[in-house]
Amino acid sequence: MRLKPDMASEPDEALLTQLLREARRGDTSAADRAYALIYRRLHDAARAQLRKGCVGHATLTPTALVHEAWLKLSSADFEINDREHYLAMASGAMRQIVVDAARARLSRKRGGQALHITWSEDVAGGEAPDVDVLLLEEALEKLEQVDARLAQVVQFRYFAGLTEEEIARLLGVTDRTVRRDWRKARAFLHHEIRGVS
Amino acid sequence: MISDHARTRRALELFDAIVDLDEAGRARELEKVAAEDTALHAELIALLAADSGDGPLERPALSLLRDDGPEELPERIGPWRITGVAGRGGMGAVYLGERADGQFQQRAAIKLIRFGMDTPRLRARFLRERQILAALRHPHIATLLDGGVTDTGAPYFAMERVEGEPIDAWCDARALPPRQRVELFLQVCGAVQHAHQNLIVHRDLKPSNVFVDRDGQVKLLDFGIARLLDEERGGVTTHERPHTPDYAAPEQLSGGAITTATDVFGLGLVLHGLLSGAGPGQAGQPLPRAVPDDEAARRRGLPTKAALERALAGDLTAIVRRCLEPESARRYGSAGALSRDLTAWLEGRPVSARNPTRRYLLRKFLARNRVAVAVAGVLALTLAGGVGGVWWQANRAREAAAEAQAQLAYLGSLLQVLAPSTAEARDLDRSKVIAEAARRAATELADKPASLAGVDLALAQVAHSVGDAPQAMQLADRALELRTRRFGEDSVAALEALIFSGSVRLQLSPPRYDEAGRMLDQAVSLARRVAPRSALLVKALQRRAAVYGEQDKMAEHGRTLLEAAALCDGALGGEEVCEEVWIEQGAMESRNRLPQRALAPLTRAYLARSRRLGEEHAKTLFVAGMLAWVQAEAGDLAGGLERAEAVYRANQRIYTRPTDASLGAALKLSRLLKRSGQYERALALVDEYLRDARRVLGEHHASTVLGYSDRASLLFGMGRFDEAAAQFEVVAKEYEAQGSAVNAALTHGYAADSLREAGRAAEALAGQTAAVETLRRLYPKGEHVMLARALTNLGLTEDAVGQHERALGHHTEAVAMHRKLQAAGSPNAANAEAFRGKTLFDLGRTAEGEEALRAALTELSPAKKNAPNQYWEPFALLTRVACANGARDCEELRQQAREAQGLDLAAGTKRRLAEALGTP
Repeated sequence: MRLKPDMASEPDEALLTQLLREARRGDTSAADRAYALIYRRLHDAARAQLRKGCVGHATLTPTALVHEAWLKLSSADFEINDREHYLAMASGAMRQIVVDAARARLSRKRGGQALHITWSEDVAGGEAPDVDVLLLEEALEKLEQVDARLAQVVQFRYFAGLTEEEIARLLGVTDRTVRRDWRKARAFLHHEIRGVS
Repeated sequence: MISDHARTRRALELFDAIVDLDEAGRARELEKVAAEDTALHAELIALLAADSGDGPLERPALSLLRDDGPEELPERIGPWRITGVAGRGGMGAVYLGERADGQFQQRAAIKLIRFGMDTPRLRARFLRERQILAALRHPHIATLLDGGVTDTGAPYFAMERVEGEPIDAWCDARALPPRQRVELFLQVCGAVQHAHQNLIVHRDLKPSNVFVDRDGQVKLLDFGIARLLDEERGGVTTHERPHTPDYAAPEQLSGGAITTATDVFGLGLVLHGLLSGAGPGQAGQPLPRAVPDDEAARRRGLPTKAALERALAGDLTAIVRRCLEPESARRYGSAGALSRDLTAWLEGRPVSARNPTRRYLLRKFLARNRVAVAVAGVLALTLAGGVGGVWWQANRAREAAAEAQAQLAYLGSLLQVLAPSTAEARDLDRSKVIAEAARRAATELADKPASLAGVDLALAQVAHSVGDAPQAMQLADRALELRTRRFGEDSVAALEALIFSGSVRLQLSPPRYDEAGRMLDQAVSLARRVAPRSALLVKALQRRAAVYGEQDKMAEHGRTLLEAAALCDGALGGEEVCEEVWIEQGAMESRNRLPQRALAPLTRAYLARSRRLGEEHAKTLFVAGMLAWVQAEAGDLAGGLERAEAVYRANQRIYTRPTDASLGAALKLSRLLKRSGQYERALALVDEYLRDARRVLGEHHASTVLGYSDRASLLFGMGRFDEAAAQFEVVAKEYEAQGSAVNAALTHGYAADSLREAGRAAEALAGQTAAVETLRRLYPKGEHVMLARALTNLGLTEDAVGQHERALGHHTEAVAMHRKLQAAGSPNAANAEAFRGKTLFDLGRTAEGEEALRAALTELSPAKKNAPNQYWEPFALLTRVACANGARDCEELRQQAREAQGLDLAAGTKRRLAEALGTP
């Protein structure tokens, strides 16, 4: 269950260590707070990158974002499982960041901002990618019901940019299974999305 | 009933299992799934298709994430104080700024570009170019006020601030009809033309760069900036060029020379979108076809998609097409030339993008004269054709000119009658309009009998084309009388009228065959005398042949047609009428089961039509379709298939909605696919055909039923026998409802065949016996190929339930019947003989059975390639029988049978091969 991150400040890096540990022991409120923290970290990191003008550049990959945020958050206190726990949460957060951004932009656009001045690219138009994101999200939710593991593979690989090995470890399956799952999931999602658009 | 999720889960499992197989492997597995569950099969196919396709997962997730948080505004850019932000994009941001300059305050939109200016040399050129752009002043161009480079090296432009919206949104919001859109668009052309005269090319024209301000005036943004940026960046990072790929001209994508023609292309794209409502990706579609939906039409003040399509067809389509020519030299030379054509269109004058045919010019003339009655257009057009018709025979240019003059004057007066301003004209129905035209012609052209004679026949043709045969006949008779009186009985003019007058009698209800035959005989002999070796003689012969054909006098039909064909094969080959002759000749040979002989005339007709009308004209495609079929019949299945495929695709391109032609092409292709063993695709095509036919023609239309029947026999071929049986029953019910006893009986028989193959032979027996009885009643002399086939099938069913004695009787009867009926080379009898052989074997007459089978196979060997099922099914039987008899060549036969298993064969044949090899 993912929850809307609250943006209250929880600045302490050590806090995450703590939260993850409590979450591992089954404390759901700790898990929620850990998630919110990760969400905000990743969100801020992504925005900072964008502001630096890194659109389309190699530095702005989910892999880099997720791993950099981890490096900043981590401390010697972490155990080996914490990282995996973090990766799982971070991938959910990345997914939500992208979806939230697309929703927000679409609602703003459809709300109609009065003044248009164009740029040679996509200032005025460019609704399509946002729509794609939302269709993908919808299809992914459906995939969760059909086969939850396939949906997880997508979340890990597509939204968080995890490697096949990382995913395999997280899910306790072989690399080959991850590859096959990805191919199935990809076919399913593209089919679903095409059926709608 | 399984749930959707469970089915999807299963589909994903199967997908995983077969996605890495080769094509044949996949097809095999798919066939199994199809037999098990059609919904599952469909889902699996969709997954496989999605696997090879593209989708959002191919784009990195974060490319979808754009900076949209609260903005930290720069305080100043150059001399400009920043007051707000207008938007942000991949290449930078647009800010709002102002500048207090002495007494007056200037407001601007300022674009800041993300990347830097690398060298002082680049910077210098940027500033120099900026001066040139700043000098560009035009009421419809947003002026460049300033430009420079910030301290951090980022270039910026300050531009006149325009408050409004992009032209497409502006037009849509006001539901502007095409005409007003074109008027507004002329402002765009004017601006571009002005820039071109100053040697500045925009390079990035698209709706979002064409704004309409609050006063309804067009303002072009970003003029010349694309070029500036391109230059500045030294063209190194081409993938980040400022132009949007969807709006780029071919030369921009290929790195060719950028000229004013590049902007003409951009203008074309904008106009295309404005008029049709389609996105830039659809610009490859001709204008009318690009209209996406009714909504787009409503946003253009028209009720339906079809209405908008009609409004855009013709000149506007030609104008846009000319703008979008891939080769820049074929586009309009300038924005001014485009402007002129659009103005001509607005004023109803001919546009240069169209070939100025006489017909076209006349239509423009008519349109200008505000004739809104649709029939007037048809009428005048045909008149013009008819008028042209009498020229050649006058053969004197000056006289012809005078005639044309008189007829045009007459046309003018006619148009007044038809103008919608008169109340009578509104109430006139088409036949009355024609009668009125004829009445006026008789008075107004009284002193020009030659013209009058021409007009009468033309009017007769109009009446014919609107379906009023009695009036057509009356007018043609009058023309004949007039022409005979004026030019004499032995004149070409009279001959022309005679041919038409005779032919039109076939259209009466009931047709007057005898009268038509008599008149056309007379026409033929007249033509032999006054115009031997002329197109008119060909026409007279062709019409005469048609009358014979209608009367089922096939020998005379053939003889007359061949005489016409002989003339066409000589010097007259270029005449239009010869196309008809060749087509009918081809159809005749094909009917007579002589496809080899149909090839030559159909090829000739096809070539003539391709030359005259183009490859993709509906009439050319019609012949191509016939040719494809005949080619396959004549033994070139691969060639026929290829051609049928091309015809099908062309039809898909030409027609936006299904028509007889496009439906026919789909069905034909599906049949050829079936014949070549491509059952899956054939079935997909038939399903598509059925979807369209049901929608357009209705559930019970003969063409729809035909599709069902094709579908049933495909299912049969695929081994989906239960489904086939059910589908055949549907077809049989339709035939019964239509009172078609033969077809109903046959189809019940096919349904029974399917049941037998499905292992339900006992259920099949009754249906099959009934089918044979019905056919015996219909053909008491027993001489019909269908009856023979029904007998074979009955025999097979009897074999299946162990009634071999009875079966033998029916097989024997079938063989005899085929022998009596069939043309040389037909495989039917040998096929039946093979089944008879198998029955003999089953009865214990093993040697006799083998002998019969061997004889049948020898006879069938020519069919091996083009009717593989008809060869390999008996072959399987022979293998089984010979091996059981301990024949010496048993192993050899088995080897061949094993090899045949790799061919594309019907499921039933494959099963028999497997049975023969002792493999399940």
